[in-house]
Amino acid sequence: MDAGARVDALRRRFKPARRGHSLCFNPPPRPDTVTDVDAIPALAAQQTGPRPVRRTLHRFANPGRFLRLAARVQPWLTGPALLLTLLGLGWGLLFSPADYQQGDAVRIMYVHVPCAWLSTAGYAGLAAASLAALVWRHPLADMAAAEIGPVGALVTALCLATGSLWGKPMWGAWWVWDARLTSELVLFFLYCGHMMLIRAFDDAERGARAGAILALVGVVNLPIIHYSVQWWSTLHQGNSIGLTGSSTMSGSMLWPLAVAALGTTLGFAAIVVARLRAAVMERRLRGLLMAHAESVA
Amino acid sequence: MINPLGYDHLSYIAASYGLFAAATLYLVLGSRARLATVSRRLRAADPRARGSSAE
Repeated sequence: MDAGARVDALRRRFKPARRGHSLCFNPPPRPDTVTDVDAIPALAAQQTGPRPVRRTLHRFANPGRFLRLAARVQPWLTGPALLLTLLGLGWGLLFSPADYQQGDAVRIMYVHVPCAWLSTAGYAGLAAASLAALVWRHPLADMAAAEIGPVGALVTALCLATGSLWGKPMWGAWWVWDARLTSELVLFFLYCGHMMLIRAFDDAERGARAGAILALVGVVNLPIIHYSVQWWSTLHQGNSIGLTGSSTMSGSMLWPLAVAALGTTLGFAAIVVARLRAAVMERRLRGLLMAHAESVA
Repeated sequence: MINPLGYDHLSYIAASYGLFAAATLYLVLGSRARLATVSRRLRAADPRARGSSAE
């Protein structure tokens, strides 16, 4: 394949960013061009005073600025995440009491509940990123949704697997088709569907838009998961933790669970930020390679 | 089965924590490796990126 054909192939595969974002992910600027609004004094002066939400979002969507910010934030997420997760899980595994009905099997809760929480919270994040991509055409939003998806799917699979491992000794069955388990399984399929849909089109932008629509439609499943144990008679136990002080769980179990949940939430965020940093750099690398191929052609 | 803590259902508990640890390691090491690889390739492709805080 000659150089011109290679450039055409690269152009088809990696379309330029969408209208309004063409400065963000393109190859590095030539010396006579400027990519950052703040670098233009006249435009920067116009931006003084209260900024519209959209402009503020786009300001933080600048990939270079995101990479600098993310590199600074990452250690502050990773360190506490590791510490709190190990503390919460160790506390729950070794020092919390056994349940009077479930015995020691209740210790699976310290893994299962944070995974269940993260599976729904992660999907809410995926849907929020999809909304930002559809409504504001936020340049990083599509990438954030694409990076949250696999992590959320793995966490949801982990929630289903640990739930199954908890269900077998307690219910005598690995799986029952009750409302909570089924709606969580639907959530897993939504994650998988999103991951497949964004890669199903030759045009990456169309794939991202289709995935975003699927993600927003799937939001309807989140309240179903949460209220399934109230709306239907389920084998799965009801909610025993409430944010308004209505928890029915003993403090000796609640505290390690809260610490583990906080640690895993920070860990989820740290992993998504790391993946998003890598995705931004990969896109920048593709731009560089395309520019190089063009210059050779 | 070795059960120093004397827990009942120990195999289910161990399997749960083991799965969690394996998934966490996969995610953490995978994202670190991906980040390191793309940083190295970016530095190789863009001389201006060398020494940049972005990586």
